[in-house]
Amino acid sequence: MSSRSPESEPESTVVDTVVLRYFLLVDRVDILFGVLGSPLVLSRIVFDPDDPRADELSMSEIVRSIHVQTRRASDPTRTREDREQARKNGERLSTVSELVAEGQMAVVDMTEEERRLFMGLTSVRETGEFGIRLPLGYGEAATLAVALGRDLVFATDDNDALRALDSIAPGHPRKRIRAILIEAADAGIITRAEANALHEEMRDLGFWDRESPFPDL
Amino acid sequence: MSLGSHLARARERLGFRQEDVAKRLGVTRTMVSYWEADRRTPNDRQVAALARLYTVSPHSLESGEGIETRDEEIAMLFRGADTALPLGARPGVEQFREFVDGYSRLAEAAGVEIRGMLQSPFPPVSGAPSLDDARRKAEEVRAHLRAGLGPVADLDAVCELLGITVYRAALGSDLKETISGGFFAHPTIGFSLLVNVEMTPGRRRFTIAHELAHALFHSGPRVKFILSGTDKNPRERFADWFAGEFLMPIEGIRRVIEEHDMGAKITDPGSVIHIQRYFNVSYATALVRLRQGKFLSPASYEDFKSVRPVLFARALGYDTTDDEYIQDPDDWRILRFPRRFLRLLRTAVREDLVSASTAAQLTGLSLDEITELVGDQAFQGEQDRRELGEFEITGIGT
Repeated sequence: MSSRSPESEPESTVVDTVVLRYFLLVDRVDILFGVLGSPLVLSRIVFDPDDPRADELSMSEIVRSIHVQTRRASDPTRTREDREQARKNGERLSTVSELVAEGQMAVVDMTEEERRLFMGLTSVRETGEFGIRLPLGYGEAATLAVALGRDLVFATDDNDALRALDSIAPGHPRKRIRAILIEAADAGIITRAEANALHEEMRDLGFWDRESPFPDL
Repeated sequence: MSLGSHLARARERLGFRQEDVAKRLGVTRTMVSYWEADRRTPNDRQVAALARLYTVSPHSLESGEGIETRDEEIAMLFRGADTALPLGARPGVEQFREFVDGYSRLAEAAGVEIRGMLQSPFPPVSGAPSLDDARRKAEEVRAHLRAGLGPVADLDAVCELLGITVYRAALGSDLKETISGGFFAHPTIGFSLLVNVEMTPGRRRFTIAHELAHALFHSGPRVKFILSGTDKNPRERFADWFAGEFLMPIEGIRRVIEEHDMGAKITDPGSVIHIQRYFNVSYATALVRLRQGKFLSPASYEDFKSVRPVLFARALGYDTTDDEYIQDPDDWRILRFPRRFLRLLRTAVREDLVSASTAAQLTGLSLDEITELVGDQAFQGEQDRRELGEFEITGIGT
């Protein structure tokens, strides 16, 4: 793993599935670029621009989400509102392809060293060493391995991944969704009211964080 | 040993051909052979996909650890099975094993004790029992459940009441070649049943009842795993008879026939359909049970076999489902898990005992499905938690 002095702040950020997914779903991925800079780094497990979209089990995580949302959009057992929401979700998630093609996001494969950490984080036998109860999801584990291997800010809202990060490198910089929204408001990219509204929209889409960015507003 | 040789071993273990893997991953067969010969290396997404497909961790693929151990475990489990495990069913059986282990780990992580059935409350049945023996045993179980003589509407709920876990997986659609289900006594989760989803709804229900017979009457210190295939030894015949009696008690059939003035003998297939739909069993099961109860003459039994039961049921005004015509394993996604497990998973994510991504990894479901499950308001958190550790017999009505 690369070493980092406590004073220096990494210049780039690697983004996990959850963070990318919710900013794509609310159609405000520009906030990620405004706060975290660009290009943002993605693991190939999170999104693979060369994904052949074969069996669902083989898909990268964002492509799988697009696939699931597309299927829901034509599922007659769902309400019309659900289908319409799924269609919109699928469309918004799909914009990731353009962002990668434009160079605003860079997709990486893990190095040998990063892969070793990834293997440990996803192994039932080794989870105890990382302070987690169950193996991490592959996307989270790969993103964490890349963050540590390349000394990048780790953008995640996955508590298990954060527990693992704390056990490996307690001071390593990380960014959660709420903090990103707060920074965006502080930087004037959005208003505080917009930050709260976006957070609420994410919650309506399944995001689990219960506290608003600006609860006193 | 290299990554390539581990990939080959993991693939062969589940009976996949290189073509099968190539199709699932969207690559050429040549590429799969290159990976296995260490001439090319799969990228990160492909490694993740191969681990999922082979039901092992990426660490096992890289190191080879666990692949052989798992093979030995499976071989040990199946040593006592009456039926050889067909290759096509291996991935589904592996998923089942992975599921019960994962369930156990999730319960431990959530601090919940799964009080599943670890020992049957009924004495074991051995030797070559008769149809009458099976009938008596079915009556005992119905009495234990206070189920009366009517149809058992929800077999999953019956199993949950008994502390038995039911999991569904694709085990193959050629039922002459594959297995319909299995029974496994897990050391912490307890008795667990496996059901092949590539069967009609009636056959799936029959399989649950059949596996229930294995759990209640054939389990013991030396019987941990039973596979139910086409081999009809005394144990399998007993389980079949038990399932028929449990789902369609002869006295229950008699009562329906009398209430609907169908006469001493059934003379039209429409009545068979009415009885089949009432008890929610397959048409074949209804025919066999009516013949066993002597409500149907041997000639009518043979004659009615040619009926197309789903179309006929529609003609009689019954609602039918696509699932009765064609079975798509993909329809099962979240539904393949027992409700009790899903309640535990939802509570664990809501209470931040595990993250949504971890839950997705554990189940093989997408993050979208996990967030939908967690957001489902059908169960409240307190109710979920109260129900998690409880199994009790409260009766299922008559």
